[in-house]
Amino acid sequence: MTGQVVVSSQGSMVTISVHGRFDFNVHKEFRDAYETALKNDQLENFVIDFQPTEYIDSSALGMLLILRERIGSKARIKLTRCNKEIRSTLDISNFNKLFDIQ
Amino acid sequence: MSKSLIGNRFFAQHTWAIALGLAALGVEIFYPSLMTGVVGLLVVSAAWAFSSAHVVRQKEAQEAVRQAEVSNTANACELTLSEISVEVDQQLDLARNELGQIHALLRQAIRSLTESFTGVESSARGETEIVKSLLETISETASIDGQRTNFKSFSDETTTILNFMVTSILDVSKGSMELVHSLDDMLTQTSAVGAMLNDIKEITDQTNLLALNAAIEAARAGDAGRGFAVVADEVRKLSRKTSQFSEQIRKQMTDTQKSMSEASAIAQAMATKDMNIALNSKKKVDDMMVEVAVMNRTMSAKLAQVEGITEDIGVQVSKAVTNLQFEDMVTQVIAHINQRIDSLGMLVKVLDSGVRSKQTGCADDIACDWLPHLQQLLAEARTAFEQSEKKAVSQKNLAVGDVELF
Repeated sequence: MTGQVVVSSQGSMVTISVHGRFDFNVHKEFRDAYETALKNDQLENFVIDFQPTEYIDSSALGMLLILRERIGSKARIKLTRCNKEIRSTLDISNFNKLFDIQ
Repeated sequence: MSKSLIGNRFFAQHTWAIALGLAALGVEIFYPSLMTGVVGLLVVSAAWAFSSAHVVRQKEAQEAVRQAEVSNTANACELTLSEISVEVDQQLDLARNELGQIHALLRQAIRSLTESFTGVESSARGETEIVKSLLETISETASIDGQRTNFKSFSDETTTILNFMVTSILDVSKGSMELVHSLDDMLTQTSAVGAMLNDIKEITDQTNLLALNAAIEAARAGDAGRGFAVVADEVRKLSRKTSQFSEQIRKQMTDTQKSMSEASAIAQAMATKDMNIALNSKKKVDDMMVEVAVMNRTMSAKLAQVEGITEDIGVQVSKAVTNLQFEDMVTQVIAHINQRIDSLGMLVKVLDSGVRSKQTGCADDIACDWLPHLQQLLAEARTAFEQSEKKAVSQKNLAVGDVELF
């Protein structure tokens, strides 16, 4: 279902994925998801799994930047399994310098 | 003359003398006496002298005839030799002229060809320069802000602008999303106020109810409860006022929430930018740079080809010009021919001067003896011919460009 935000956590790692379009409409769920995950003190690895994501726009990029600021030095953020277009968008935004893209 | 022939002529010329001599001998044998002998001897001697003189006269006559013949022939020869000399001189002069013409034609042609070839080469070089400057011009774009740039710096500019644009988009998106988060928080807080207003409503409802009960109790107490009834009435009024204020607050909250929604929508519009435009621009710039690189490589290759061809032309022209340097050799060969002509002319003049000196009568014995003189001159001429022949032979063996040193 598009717009669905799925969270899974395993010990010190949390994985969030957005299904379909990652845009302004999911902003509330996305924020709720990571705010909840940040309550875990043992958190070390934060993973955004783009496999079910088809499209991102600039609002998604804004949200990721806010997330990065919010987490600070508490944990590392990985962006994984991006498709070609999403990868190009992340590259043109120089996100490879800010996030661990795999 | 053979010995037998000489013998025959001897006998033929002195026949009479011999016959008389034999006769005298016969007489002497048969009639030996001194007188006969002496007479016989005298007769024989006389006969001998007579026949000898006769022979001598014959010879002289023959000699004179022969000399006359020779003289005639010699005159005829001299005349013919003079004529030949004149003819040969004429032909030799013509030959000299024609050699001169050949030389002049060759010189002119060589000069012309050398100029043409050199002209071709400088034209080829000129073309190469034009091609070079043409390729350099193609590598540059038109002026940007009055500065000539090339494709590379143009693409760098574009990439910088692109990066700036992306950064701007990200800044606006991030700020907008932060704004949205703040609005969400405010929404939560205003919702809390709403909950509190509900509590207030409950309280006012309760208060209203209590005041109503108080009024009823006051009415039951009669006059003693009249004062209490007034108080209860006032409490009800206050309670209604509180309700009204509560409603106004609720209305304000609703309006505030509406404004926040509008702000949120505006923030959404600002935050939402499709990144494809930026992606496409970047791709276009990248593609253009690849094409430019290919074009530059192609042009460099073509330029190298053109330069190569120009080099080839240069080499071929060099060869041609070098091959044209045979004028020196031709000049020398023509000089040799001229020498031969001069030698021939000289020979003829010797012949002619020899004939003339004989005609005018010579005081000098040697000059008169012009046949040995002529033979000597011929020998000298032959030696001279052999000398120049050796030189001409070695001339053929020289490589192009070599010149014999005088």
